[in-house]
Amino acid sequence: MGFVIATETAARQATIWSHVRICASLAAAGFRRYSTYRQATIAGAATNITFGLLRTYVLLAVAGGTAAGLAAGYDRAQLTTYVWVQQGLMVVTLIWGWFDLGDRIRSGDVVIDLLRPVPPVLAYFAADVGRAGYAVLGRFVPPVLVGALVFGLYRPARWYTVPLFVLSAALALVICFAGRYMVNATAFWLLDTRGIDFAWVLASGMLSGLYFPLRFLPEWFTLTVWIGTPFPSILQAPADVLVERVAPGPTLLIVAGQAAWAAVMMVACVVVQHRAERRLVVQGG
Amino acid sequence: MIISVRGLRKDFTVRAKAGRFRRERRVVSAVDGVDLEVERGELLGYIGPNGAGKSTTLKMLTGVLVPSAGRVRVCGLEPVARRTRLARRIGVVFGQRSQLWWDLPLADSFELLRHVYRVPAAAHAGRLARCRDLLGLDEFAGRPVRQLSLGQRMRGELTAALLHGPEVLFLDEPTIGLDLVSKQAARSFLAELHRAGDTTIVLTTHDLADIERLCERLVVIDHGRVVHDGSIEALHARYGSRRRVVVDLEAPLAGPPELPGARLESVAADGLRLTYALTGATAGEVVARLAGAGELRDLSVVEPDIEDVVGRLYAAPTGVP
Amino acid sequence: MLPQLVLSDLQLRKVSRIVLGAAVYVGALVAADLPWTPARVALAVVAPVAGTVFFTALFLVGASLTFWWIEAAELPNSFTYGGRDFTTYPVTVYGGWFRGLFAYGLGFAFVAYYPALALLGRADPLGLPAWVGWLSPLVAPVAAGAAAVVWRFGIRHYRSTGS
Ligand SMILES: Nc1ncnc2c1ncn2[C@@H]1O[C@H](COP(=O)(O)OP(=O)(O)OP(=O)(O)O)[C@@H](O)[C@H]1O
Ligand SMILES: [Mg+2]
Repeated sequence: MGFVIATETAARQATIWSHVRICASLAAAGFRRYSTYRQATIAGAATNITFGLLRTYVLLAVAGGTAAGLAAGYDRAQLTTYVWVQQGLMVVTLIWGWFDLGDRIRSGDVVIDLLRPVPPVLAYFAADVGRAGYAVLGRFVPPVLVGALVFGLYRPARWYTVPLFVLSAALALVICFAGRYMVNATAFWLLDTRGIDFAWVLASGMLSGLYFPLRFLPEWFTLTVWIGTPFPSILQAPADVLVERVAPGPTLLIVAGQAAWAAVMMVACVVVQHRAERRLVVQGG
Repeated sequence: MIISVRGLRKDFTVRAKAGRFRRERRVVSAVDGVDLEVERGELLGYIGPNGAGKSTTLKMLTGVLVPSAGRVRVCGLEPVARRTRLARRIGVVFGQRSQLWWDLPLADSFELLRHVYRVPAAAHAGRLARCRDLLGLDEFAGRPVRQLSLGQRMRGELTAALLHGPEVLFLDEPTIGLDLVSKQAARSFLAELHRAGDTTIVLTTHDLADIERLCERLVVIDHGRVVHDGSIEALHARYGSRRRVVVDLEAPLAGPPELPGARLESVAADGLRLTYALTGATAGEVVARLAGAGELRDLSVVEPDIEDVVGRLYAAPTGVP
Repeated sequence: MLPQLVLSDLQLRKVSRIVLGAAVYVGALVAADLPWTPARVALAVVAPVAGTVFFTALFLVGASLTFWWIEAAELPNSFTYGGRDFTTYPVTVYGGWFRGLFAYGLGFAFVAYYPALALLGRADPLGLPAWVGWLSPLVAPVAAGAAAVVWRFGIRHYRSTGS
């Protein structure tokens, strides 16, 4: 008895380990794939920098217009950091502009993904982690550096803030990936997904804190959106963690909320993929 | 049996516009009760006219499409339920799709596939070396896939499908759009693979030269039904395709002779060229009789043409040759 | 060829956006209760037209740049959509070299900010004379000319490299 269980456990460990290795090589491929487009990286970073400048000046004007020089409780350095970190994070999480899966479903190329010995959600996620890794170097660091040079950034006071931010950003990537994946996967059911794409862009722009910090809105609304939707967990949460907007306790709550949303979204994603495969009609001969 | 299919069906519901607002739902039976048994090591030609249901069958055999009815086993597994496990044991090439990483060099795709399929390094290197030799990959292995020509890419695709040593190889129009040289390369490669004996190959194609060159067994489907399953010779026999004897005479005969076991098919306008289809007699007998009737200048024996048979087969109404 | 490309992208949503924008503009002008003179009326009519021409030219420049940098298709966003966002706020909000570049270098200040100052009869806190506002619609023909040149060069470049 014990022997059988032992071998089963060993076998399962071997499978997990081999999946980790497969994912690592897929992630490396994702990294290399994006790194072949140097021009696009530079152009994209330049665009992030422009929008970073725009948003910083506007938010600073808002803060400057108040008596205490605070905007929704953020001081100048916090606002600046908020903006620049988000300019980088929106590319690392790739909140907008990912159509790979949807396009492959429409063209029927998704059969190739289904014929790999790795579950599609896992394979896509691994590749996305690689992509995000490249985005950290090519699209996160440059705007944050520019923000630091032009405006100066907030210096975290707590020793654990930066590691917690890294964790928070990683969870944001998971949540955002799952959201994008599901939006793309609607192409399995709908031939025209433009409406859903547009809804995602609108909702994620308004509710993630990208256009302005959500704390500018009434507290009951912010709280509802934060708990009830995954969007604030994508950009607002990591930025708030980094600028230490709230006390240590609530900061941990923010990250815990992200972890919960990450789990919910990933499970939903796997369920959607499973459903899709069951009723799958692959396009094209 | 490495592939075993019983009563396989796939119905698609298509919505077509009927009138201004009404939409009509229509059911298309793409695959309509296919039975198929394939032995390990066979090279099977799976052919049929456009829209016959070939690609749909292959998608069900590989597990990416859920059958409407029927029982399928490939390598002893049920494809849809065991798709990712089956994926390790089969290789697939879809002529119009790519399984290579578009932005990366071809060689990188091969390396990635080694990890994805968990192939031991030595086995991988051995298979890759063989493909490199037979398909001449070295010339372009370092270039990003998006910069390869169709023929070069297709050689890459064939290699990619084989690196994990699949038991069954499914090829859906692998020679589509290739020039003669690339087609030849792909064919001799497949012939070589088949000769080695441990890979089962299911090949779909519209290029009948592929079939003649490669397949001993031919399954023809039309409107989702199998209309022929057997050797090429059996196909010829069944559809009455005959060898022909063509003779050129020195001088026209008064009346071309009727010969037992041969049917006069045509007489050229000047009466100098006669064509007989052999219906029982041998070519030698026919030539001997004709030589008795008049002086021969030249003669040739024409093998039956697969294009011909298949053309007639495709043109015939479903199931009735 | 160009009108064809432009019209193919016109949609109902975009039309409704124009209608909404026009309504807000007229509403704001009425609410401001301005002493209307013929010159003011003329500027109120010309400024939005000039702004439209200016942005059309800018988008055209953005599109033409992809003739050279196909991969860098995202770059024009920084001055097309970025410029649009820039003009939504008074230029006094911005500072440093960034204001210099966007407001005066690329001319976004002359699309909304200076015409608005002239219409409202306000002095420029940044110190430019009042007539600047009245002449600001002239950036539109300048931008259109520049765009035409870039577009031409782009087409020629495209034809000669064929890529
Ligand atoms: N996704 C789909 N939705 C509706 N009908 C489909 C779908 N896919 C295939 N069909 C129909 O099923 C039939 C068989 O298609 P299939 O692609 O299997 O043909 P095929 O034999 O591969 O043809 P070809 O030689 O042209 O590749 C066709 O009538 C086709 O229109
Ligand atoms: Mg087909």
